[in-house]
Amino acid sequence: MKKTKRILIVEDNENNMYLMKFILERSGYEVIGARNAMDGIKMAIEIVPDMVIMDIQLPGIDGLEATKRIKSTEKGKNIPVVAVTSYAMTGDRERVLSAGCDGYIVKPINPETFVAEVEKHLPKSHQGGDL
Amino acid sequence: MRKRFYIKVVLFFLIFLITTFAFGANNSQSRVIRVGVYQNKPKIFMDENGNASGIFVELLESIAKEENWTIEYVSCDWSECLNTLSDGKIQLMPDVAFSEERAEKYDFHEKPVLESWSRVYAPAESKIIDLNDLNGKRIAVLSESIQEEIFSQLMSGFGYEVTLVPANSLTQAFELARDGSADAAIANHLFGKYYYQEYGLLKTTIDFNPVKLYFATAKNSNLEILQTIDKYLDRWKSQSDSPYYSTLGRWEGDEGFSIPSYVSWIFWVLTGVLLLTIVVIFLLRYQVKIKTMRLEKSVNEKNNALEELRKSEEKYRFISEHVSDVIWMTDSNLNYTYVSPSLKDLLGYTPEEFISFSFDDVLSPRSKKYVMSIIQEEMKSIETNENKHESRRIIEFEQKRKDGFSIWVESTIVFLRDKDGNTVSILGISRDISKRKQAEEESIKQRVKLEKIVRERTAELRMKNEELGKSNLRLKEIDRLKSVFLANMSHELRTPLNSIIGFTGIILHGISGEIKPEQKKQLTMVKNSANHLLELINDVLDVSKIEAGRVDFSQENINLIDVVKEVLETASYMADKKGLKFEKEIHDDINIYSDRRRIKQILMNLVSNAIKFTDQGMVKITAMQTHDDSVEIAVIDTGIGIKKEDIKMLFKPFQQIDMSRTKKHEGTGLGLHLSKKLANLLGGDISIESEHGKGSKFILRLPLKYAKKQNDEVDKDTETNNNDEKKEGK
Repeated sequence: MKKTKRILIVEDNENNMYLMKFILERSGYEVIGARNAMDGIKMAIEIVPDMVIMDIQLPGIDGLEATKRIKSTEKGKNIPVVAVTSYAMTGDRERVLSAGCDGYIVKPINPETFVAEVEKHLPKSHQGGDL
Repeated sequence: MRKRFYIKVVLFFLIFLITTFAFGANNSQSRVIRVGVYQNKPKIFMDENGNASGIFVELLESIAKEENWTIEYVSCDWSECLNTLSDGKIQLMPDVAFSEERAEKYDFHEKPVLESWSRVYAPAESKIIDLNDLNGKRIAVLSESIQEEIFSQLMSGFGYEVTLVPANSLTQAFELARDGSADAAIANHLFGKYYYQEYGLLKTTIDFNPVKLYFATAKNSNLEILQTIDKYLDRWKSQSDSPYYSTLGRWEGDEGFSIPSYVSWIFWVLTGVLLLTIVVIFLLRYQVKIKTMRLEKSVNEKNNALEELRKSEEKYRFISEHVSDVIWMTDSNLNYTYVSPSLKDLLGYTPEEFISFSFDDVLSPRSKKYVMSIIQEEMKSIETNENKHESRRIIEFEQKRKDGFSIWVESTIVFLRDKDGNTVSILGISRDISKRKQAEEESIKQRVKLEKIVRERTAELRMKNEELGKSNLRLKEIDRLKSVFLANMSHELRTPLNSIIGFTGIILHGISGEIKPEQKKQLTMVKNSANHLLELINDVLDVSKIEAGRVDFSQENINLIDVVKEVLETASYMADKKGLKFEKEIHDDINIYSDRRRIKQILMNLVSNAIKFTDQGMVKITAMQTHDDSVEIAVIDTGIGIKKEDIKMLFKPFQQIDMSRTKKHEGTGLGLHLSKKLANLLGGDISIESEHGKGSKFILRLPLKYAKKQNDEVDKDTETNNNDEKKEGK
C-alpha cells in the first residue's frame, strides 16, 4: 500500500490555503497547514512532511527565511520545499533558489497544472516506508 | 764574423798597394829633376824645416806641377852647386846670373826669370845716400862674389877709396852694417828689399850691376827643361794673374818710399782709430736714430693711448649720464666717490648733494641690517682671500629718497680688489624696482585672494557633494520604495486572483461537484475575466518595471524553432476557435542568445493580436536570419490591417485602434507598447507592414547575441557558445 504523502503548506491567506488544500486533497495528498512562518518551521521539524509548500510573502519572517531555517535543521534539510511566489521583482528567482527552495510556482496558481507542478518536486522513492 | 773582418783588411791593404803603385806608376811617369838649392833668401833657400823655398823654387814648383816633374832639391853652397851642375849630379841650377863666361859652361833659357841688381844699404847714421858718400867707407860685401868685383871696379873707376869688409853671406853683410862694423852693405835688391828694414838699414840710390837671373843646366843637357821653363815664363809674364806675378808679389814686399816703421805703425793706428771712430760715429748715429724712432713710437703710442682713454672716458661718461640706472662707486669705507646724474630721478638728490654721503646713510631702516651684513660679508671674503679679486652680488633693498619716502631698489654690486692689493672698492648699478615690487605685492595679494576663493569653492563643493550624497541616498531610498511598491502591488494584486482563478477552475472541472451548464457558462465568463485581469496586471507590472528600469533579463541560448512551437501550441487553440489556419515557416535552425521568456512574451502578444484581428484566413509565423547578425521573426496575418495614419499610434500605451474592437476583442492596450519596449531592451525592434483590409505583418528583429551594455564578456561567451551549438548541430 502506497503511503499517503504528507504536504505541509505554509500560507497566511485563507483562500489561498483552502484552494491549494482542496486541490491537493482531491489528488490524494494529506495536507497540513501552517498560517505563519514560525508555525511552519515548527511543524516542518516536528512532522517532517514529504514536502513543504512555502508561500514567500508571509508576515513576520518571510518564506525564504523560514525555508532557510527548515533546511538548516537535521530533520528538515532533506524536505523538498517549493515556493509559491508572485515573482515580481528583479532577482526573485535567484533569491528563491538560493534560499534553498527546490522549485517555485508562480501565483496565481493554475488549478489545472498545480498538482503536476508540485509532484515534479516530490521524491520518486518513498515506497513502503521502513520495509 | 772574423772571416769577414780579415777579408776587409786584406782588401784594404790591396787597394792601398794598388793606389800607391798607381801613384808610383804615376810618379814613374813623371820626370825627376834634381835641382840645387843654396841659401839666397828670398830668391832661393832651404827653410828651417829643410824644405826648398823662395822665388825660384815656387816658380819651378808651379811649372813642375803642370809638367808632372818631380823635383828633388839638393842643398849645396854656391860653388858646390855649380860643380854638381857640371857633374850632372843636379840637372838644374836656379838663380844663375848670365855671363858670357858662364854661357860656355852652362845652358840658359832665353827669358830671364828675374832681373836683379846690387844695391847699397846703409844704416841711417852712415849718412850714405849716393855714390860719392861711399868714399872712404867700409862696405860689407859678399866675398868672392861678382858684386865684389864689380863694385871695386866701380869704385876705382870713380877713384873712390873704399874698404871692403868681407862677408860670408848677405845676412852677415847686413849684420856688419847694422853693427857698425861696416858703414854699408851690398846685397842684391831682392834680398835687400826683403831684409833691409829688419836690420834697420836704409835703401840708398846706389844701384849697380844689373843682372839677369836664369835657371841653368849643364851644357847640352836638359835643353827641354829650359825650353819648358821659357814656355811658362813667356806665358806667365803676359798674364797679370799668373803664378809668376803672385810669386813675385809675395816675395818682393813693399816697394815705394821707405817710411820709418813707427810712422806707418802710427799711420795704421790713426787709420784704425779713424776708421773705428767713423764706425763708432755711424753706430752711434744709428743707435740714436733707433732710439729716436722708438721714442717717437712710444710718444705716439702714448698719445694714442691717451686718445683712446679720452674716447673711452667720454663713452663711459655718456653711458653713465644717459642710462636711467644709477651708477655709483664707493671706497672701502663706503663713502661715495662717484654717482651718476640719474640719481636725481631715483632718489631726488643731485650727485653733488649726494657725494658727501656714505652708502649706509641712505638705506632705509628696514633694509639696513640686511644690506650691511651682505656688504661686509663680501668685503671680508675678498680681503681674506688672496686669490679672489672681485665678487658680485645682486640685492634688493629700500633706500630713502630726499623727500623722505622709501623706494625699492635693485643693485648689482661689484666688489673689486684695488690695485694696491689691499682695499676693496665698490662699484654698483642701481635701478628703481618700485613698480616691480608693487607688481609682486599685487600678485601676492591676488594669489591670496585666489587661494581664498579656491578654499571657499572647495568648501562649497564639499557641501554640494554632501547634499548630492544625501540626494543619492534619498533617491536610492525612493528606488527601494519603488521596488517594494512593485513587489507589494504584484503580490497584492495577484493574491485575490489566485482564489478567483483557482476556485473557478476547480468548480468548472467539477471537482467540487456537478455544475449545471448555465453555471458553467457563467463561471467560464468569470474565469476568462480573471485571466484577462491577470494579463492586465502582468502587463502593468511589466511596464512599471520597465519604466523603473527594474526589468531583469536572463540570457541563454535559444533555439527559435522551439520557442515558436511553444507559441504555436498555446495560440493554436485560439486560432482553431476562430477557424483560422495557423502556420509556421522556419527553414533553418536559428539559435539566438537572448531572454527566452521575453521573446515568447512578445511573440505571444503579436500572435494573439494577429488572431484577434483576423476573422478569416491565416496567421503565419516566419523566422529567418539576416546577413547582419540578426533574426527577423514575422507574424503575418490576413486580418483587418491597419490604416497608415494609425500605425504611429500603435505602439503607444493604452491606445487601441478601432475602439469598437475593444469591446469585442479584449485587449489591454498595453501589449504592443510593452512588446516594443521589450524588443528594444533586447537590442531589437518591432516594425509593421500593413494594408488596411488586407492584412498585417509584424516583424520582430532581434540581434543574434543580446549583449547587455556592461558585459563585453557576454559577446565572447556568445560566440563560443554559438559556435559550439553550431558544431553540435543543434
